[in-house]
Amino acid sequence: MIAPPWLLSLPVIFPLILGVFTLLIPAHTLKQAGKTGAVATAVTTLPCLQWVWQAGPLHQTLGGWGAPLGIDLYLDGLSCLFLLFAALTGLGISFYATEYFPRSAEGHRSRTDLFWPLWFVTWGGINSLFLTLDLFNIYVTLELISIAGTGLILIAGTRGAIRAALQYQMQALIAGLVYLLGVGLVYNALGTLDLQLIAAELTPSPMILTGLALMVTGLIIKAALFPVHFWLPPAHADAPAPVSAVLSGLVVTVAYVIVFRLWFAGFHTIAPNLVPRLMGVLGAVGIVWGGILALRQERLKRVLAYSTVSQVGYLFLVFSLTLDSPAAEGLVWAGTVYMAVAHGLAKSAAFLAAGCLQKTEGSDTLTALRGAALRQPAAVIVLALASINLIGLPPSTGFIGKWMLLKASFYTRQWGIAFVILGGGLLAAAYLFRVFEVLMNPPDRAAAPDTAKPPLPLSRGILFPAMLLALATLIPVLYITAPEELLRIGAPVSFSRFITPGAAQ
Amino acid sequence: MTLPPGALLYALAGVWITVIGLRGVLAEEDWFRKIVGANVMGSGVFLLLVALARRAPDGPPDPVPHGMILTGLVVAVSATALMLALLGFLNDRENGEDDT
Repeated sequence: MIAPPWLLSLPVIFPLILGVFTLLIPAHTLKQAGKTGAVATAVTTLPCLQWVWQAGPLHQTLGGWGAPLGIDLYLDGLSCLFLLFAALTGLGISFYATEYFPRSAEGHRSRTDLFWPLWFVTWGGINSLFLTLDLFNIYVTLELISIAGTGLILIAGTRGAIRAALQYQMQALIAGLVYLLGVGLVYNALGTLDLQLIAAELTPSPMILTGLALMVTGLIIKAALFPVHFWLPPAHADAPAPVSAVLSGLVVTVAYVIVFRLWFAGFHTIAPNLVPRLMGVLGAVGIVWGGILALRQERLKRVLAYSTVSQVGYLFLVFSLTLDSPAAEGLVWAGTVYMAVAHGLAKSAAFLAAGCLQKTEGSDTLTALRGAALRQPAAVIVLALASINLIGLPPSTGFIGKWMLLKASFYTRQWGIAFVILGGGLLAAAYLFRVFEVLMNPPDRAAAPDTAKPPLPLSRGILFPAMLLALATLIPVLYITAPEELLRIGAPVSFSRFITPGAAQ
Repeated sequence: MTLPPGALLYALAGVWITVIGLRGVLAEEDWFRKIVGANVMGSGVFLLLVALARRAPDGPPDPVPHGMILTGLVVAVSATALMLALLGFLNDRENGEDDT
């Protein structure tokens, strides 16, 4: 069986073309184009799933120029799972955005119309980062996403958003330069930019180790690991809701997935033990620190943004957990992937619901949202479903991921990490229940100045996509072996002792 | 991997300039100075990459790092322009609010 040459490039090129296309077409056709384009982009990932399921990992070169000089794309179970995750999240966000942003008058383009070109370019970049093997291609695509992300934040148009966008672009530029410097050093030592060729020749020389350290540093700034998370809360909280969902649900995840991929492609064989330990400790501190700050926020979107800082921390525990016990490697590896996917879906859904509350209640401060559960039950239900994941309650994917990490931390006797995993769940419960306490409490009648709320500017269907994203996190419970089998395809770790809670022990 | 002495000098200068630029980004309060700092840091990184491109004492330099630098320059210029425009918007807004 020979793969069609467009198989891996299509999910990258198609949304990029759509980005240009949506810049050119008349404004009143944008919503229709956005919906159709999103469905078509999501569909381009299905042939990838079919291929990897039937034939296993796939390696393709672009334009007939193979490594070491050309750029290679690589599809395995991991990248396929994340492609599907991006497709699902992207679909939800796109359909939500068509209702969220006001409709433009014919022949007149407004600022919110720029969402579509920027979003499709971002989507193409995200797909590209899941598939690429070329270190320099990763740099270029990360910068593409960052610049598009800055534009997306600016759609809000407020002063806070401009300042957040400035800070976002600055961290992206610095992180990108640090990463590029690392790539330069690795290239100087090994003479190639292809990840698989590099992985085959890694030696712990000072040049290579410095290069890898710089690359990982640049990437963890973009993934907002504590203590380099400072740029995230303003950017994610001040952007319009669909943009917050893109940035918090997808873009942060992508930066993390690159660290994850590089690490298990071979970095873990040469890095001194101090590095994974440090990343684990920073992750653990981030879980607690993000949780505590989330407890202290007065705006719903800020709570969710700090929750992202906390949840990203869990993803970095993997480096420390896989260190001591290769036998638990598969367990930790898959648990982390589940947590990343669960967080991406749940956080997108939560931001979309928060956007609805913000629009209908006029503000997302917790005082303004008092009693919102009575007025906006659907949005609060979506937020609740998402919270099940963020806290890690059964039967969500977030629970399964956390369960696997917890099991591995017991198995490897890392009690400190086990404690943080459990404590982080409690913290998440605390900061989310604090929100629900406000949402569920009936408003104080004496204090309510006017009962005449502004009429709902949102259509009824707007929450459907958010609801679907939140519900999607419950699917693996019904059919648990499918994502696991997908992940095993081409996985760089051993799954010998890999047991999910659903499988017989 | 040993660098020719001349290239080593450039590489060390690149590291130094990178550190100076990074210090500017982190320590300066004013956003304009931060943006300039980011540019200085970019120059340092590119200088280092140019120096590393000479992989052998004699013989032509490796063109791949040059390609990387060209792309990096384009990214840095675009990001700088974007940040300067944002800073301009921000100053306009703040001045406008002060007037009212």
